[in-house]
Amino acid sequence: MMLISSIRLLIRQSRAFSVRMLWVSLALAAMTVSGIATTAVQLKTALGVSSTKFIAADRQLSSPRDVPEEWLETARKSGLEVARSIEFSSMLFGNERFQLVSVKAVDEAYPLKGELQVAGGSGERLIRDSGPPPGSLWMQKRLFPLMGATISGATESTMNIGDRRLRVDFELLQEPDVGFQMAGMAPRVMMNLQDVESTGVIQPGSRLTWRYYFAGKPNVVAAFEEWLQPRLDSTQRWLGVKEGRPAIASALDKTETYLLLGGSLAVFLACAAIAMAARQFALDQVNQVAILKTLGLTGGQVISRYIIQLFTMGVVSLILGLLLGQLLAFGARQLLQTWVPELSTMPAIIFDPGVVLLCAGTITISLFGFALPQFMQLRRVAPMQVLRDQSASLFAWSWSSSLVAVVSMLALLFLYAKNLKLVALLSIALLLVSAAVFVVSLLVFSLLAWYLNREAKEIGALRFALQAMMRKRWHSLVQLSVCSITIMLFALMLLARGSLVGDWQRQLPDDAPNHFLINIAPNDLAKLEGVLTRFEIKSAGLYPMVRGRLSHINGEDVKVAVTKDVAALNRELNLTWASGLPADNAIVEGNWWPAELAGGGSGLKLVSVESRLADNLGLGLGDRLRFSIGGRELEAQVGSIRTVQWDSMRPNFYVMFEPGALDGFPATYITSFYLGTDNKNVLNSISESFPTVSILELDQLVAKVRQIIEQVSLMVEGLIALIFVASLLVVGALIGSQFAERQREAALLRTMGARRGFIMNAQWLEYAVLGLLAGAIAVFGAEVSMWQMQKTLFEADFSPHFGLWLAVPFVSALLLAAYSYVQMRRVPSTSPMLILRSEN
Amino acid sequence: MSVVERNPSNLTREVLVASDLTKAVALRGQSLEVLRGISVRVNAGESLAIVGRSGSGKTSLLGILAGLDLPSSGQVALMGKNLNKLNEDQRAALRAEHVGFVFQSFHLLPAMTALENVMLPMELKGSKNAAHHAQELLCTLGLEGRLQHFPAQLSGGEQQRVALARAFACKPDILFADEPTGNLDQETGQSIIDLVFELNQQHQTTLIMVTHDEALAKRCQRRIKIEQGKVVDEDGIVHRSAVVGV
Repeated sequence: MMLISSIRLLIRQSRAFSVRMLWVSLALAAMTVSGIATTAVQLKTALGVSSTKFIAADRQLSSPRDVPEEWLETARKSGLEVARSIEFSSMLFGNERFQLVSVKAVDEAYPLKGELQVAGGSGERLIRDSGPPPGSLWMQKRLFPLMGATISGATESTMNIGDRRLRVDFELLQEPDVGFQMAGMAPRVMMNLQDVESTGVIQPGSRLTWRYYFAGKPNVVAAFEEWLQPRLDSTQRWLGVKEGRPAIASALDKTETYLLLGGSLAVFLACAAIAMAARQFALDQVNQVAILKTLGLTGGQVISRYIIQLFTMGVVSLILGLLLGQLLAFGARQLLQTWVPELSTMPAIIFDPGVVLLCAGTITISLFGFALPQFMQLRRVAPMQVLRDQSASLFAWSWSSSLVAVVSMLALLFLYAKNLKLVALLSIALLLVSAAVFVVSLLVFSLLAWYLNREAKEIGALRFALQAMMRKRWHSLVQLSVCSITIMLFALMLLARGSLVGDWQRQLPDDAPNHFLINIAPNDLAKLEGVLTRFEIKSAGLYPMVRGRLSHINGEDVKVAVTKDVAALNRELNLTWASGLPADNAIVEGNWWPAELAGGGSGLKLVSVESRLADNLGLGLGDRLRFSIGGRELEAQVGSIRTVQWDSMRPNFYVMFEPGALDGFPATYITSFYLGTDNKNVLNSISESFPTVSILELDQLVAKVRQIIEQVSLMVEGLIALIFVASLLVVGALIGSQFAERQREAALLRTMGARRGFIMNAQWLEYAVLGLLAGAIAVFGAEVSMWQMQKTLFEADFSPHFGLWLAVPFVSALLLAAYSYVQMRRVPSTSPMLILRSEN
Repeated sequence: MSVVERNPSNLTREVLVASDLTKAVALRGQSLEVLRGISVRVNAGESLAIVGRSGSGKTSLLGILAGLDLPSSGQVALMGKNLNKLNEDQRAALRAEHVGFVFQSFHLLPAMTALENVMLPMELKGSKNAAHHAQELLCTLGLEGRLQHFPAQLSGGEQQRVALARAFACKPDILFADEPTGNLDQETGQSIIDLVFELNQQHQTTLIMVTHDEALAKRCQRRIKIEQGKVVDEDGIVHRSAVVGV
């Protein structure tokens, strides 16, 4: 009975502004959480799927020799698909021409993920889901002119690899797991694994790379991974999506962090709106509770009714939010489908149980943390209220309910982001803003008081507006805090977006290098520069490269000194020297070729080591490193440690020497540059003029990374729109809560003869001043938070955003003024009589 | 409400006994005595007017008599129950059972229509046919065209008639009225008062009314006049059991 009457009461009350506001805020919170969480789930799945294409499988094992057949059997038995390939360098010959090529021999199952793209005689792009059949050879475009080969016309070309003659079928355009090895990259050809034996080129001691590909259900893959990893030795590499493509992995990580940050902020704002709407709802109920009490309801019965009502609202808005969230996720999917085709294969509705739980948790926490404490105050409403207004003593600020709200918010953020660092940062930022709001408001109010105390000839609208703020000093303080924090969160989101998307785009501008030239002989340098200039190609600079192995640290063999399995120790490193620090490197320890160390003290040459490698090897400033370079040894001392932007697509090095340190060692040069797709012929000119130079084509990888960035940017815009709606809701709740009081005030002013224009002006001016102050405080808070976030979450540098300091206060003043103008425009024109009547 | 209790033979039963009531309120650190030793006895079916100037303490007295507030000292028994011994929830239950209110400022719920406002107390009690009863009551009061109107769309007189319908919806034993015509013009006020007495008669309700309107007070069987928290005058039919005094 109580249930029905409570719900009936709720339906009737839903006509009231505050109740509607509460409904909207609740549904928005649920929608945001479900929409973002579902989008994140589907995007993660889709991007995971699309990223597996980069390693042509879910996992990849590379090994310098073949692995026991038992391993592959185990994988097959557990239900995994298995494919394999062998990579080696060999001479390709035909038409009396020779060319060193990088051969990839694949079995029928390859690739397990992703696809091969080839072109036939007509040049049309074709998709193949498996490699060349036995007897067939696919060659990279560049090889055709080099080898005088053709696939069109009556004469079909054949080429030899070792003893095996192969027919040239297709031009190889793209393979999914294109490698990113810096050195020794010759043009690629692809053949069938079955033909390898008959070539006779593989002899004991040949340098080969065996690759094994595994794909299957995530849990099966994980179980196999667990089984396999203890069996691997240090020469074998086990690759997941992240290991396969660090650039993509870091893009994915940042995306996730950003989504969570944005989602947390949206949820936080929705909670603020819930708290405010609930407070207003509760305030509106004081008289009703008193009336209900005179009608014979006990305090407990009244509260039970409100709990039932809140619960009903929770359940309904949860369902509504989940549905709307699906719509949101569906929209996001439609939007992103162009870039992430894997999304189109997903079901129309994804009810992830985790998302539903998260949503239910959000609603529960926000209802019981933010709304219920407001309603609990109603318990104390005395029935005597109906005869004498005592509501002023209720709803005073209380420690306990504030504490409940703060704890609820933290719990909510943690539940949502599962990232303690993020939650801690946000809390600190909010605390800082609250403190700033308090100090600044006190200052501003004292200034206002001083200004208002001066004699004035006539009371203008501005003066009246300021007086109104002063009269309601505590209320204004609350308004200022809420607005500042709301605007701050919005500004923070804009800043974070700029930092994320902008930085990526800056790292990967349209003309980001997408081709590498490796193995450039020193005597070819001048000529090559001439060629590049002729084609108007701007290179990222020519870097010398000496290949050497790190053998000793402080006189101790690295195998003894370093217990960890560090990949860099198992291969030759590319060593370089430079006088200036590369643009995207940053020194974190020591100095770039410090004068006091150079040549002095130990007399050793200086090296600069990449920070992650230094961490792994336990290196610090002053440590001595011995390198083995072509049988000769070179000892150097660590002079600095620096970070490297590995995803910048410029030549980057783990170890850099001071100029002159590598003189006398055989060096080749490396460079990178941007080349558009229609300019590819330049590569042929280069490979014809410089047959020893290896060309590494990364344009497809760069395009892929850029695609991901575009997807993320789009989602980020969507998130910002959502947060904007949440912010409007908060500010709407704030201004809306004032409506009745403003109406009363305006009626009184009008009875005293105030003109409509005066009241309007005073009103919007008050909100404009509020917006101006809140905007300024918000920018301060956002900058401080951003500074912290750049440091800890996004690992990027911070620079202040001066434009924002001007724009945000101005825009927020404008917006608040406009918003209050629209929302309150009827206030001054309401007949005073009507207001006096509704008062009764 | 049983038929037995409505029997005229029960009319001499005392429904309200208050003795030696005082009420002190703290105002800016000082204690202000708003009631200073008031005793009242009221029989079932009687009508009593409490008159006095603004600030004399009559509203405070009404609140205490109705159990909305507790006295600082003294005793109140409503329907034979000592209010001092009941907690707020028990007093609420007692009100639900026996008491109706009409207020100067109507106190209709603004988000509900006239009909819904009248249905509310019946629904809270779980009565069946609440809508039908409420409609009947409102029609009796001449509001058949106003059922779906919200309080803000009604005139003062109409609002007070809705409030009256709500007060009588659960057939209370005692109706407390606080300046029921205070916000109405004379003519409308008159018609409301006519209605109050008519309903009072019809439902055999005891009426306790606070007013500063002498003419209105005269229509009650008994009157007490309060000044500065004390009863300064009383008149009307004095029942054997209804002794009023300081």
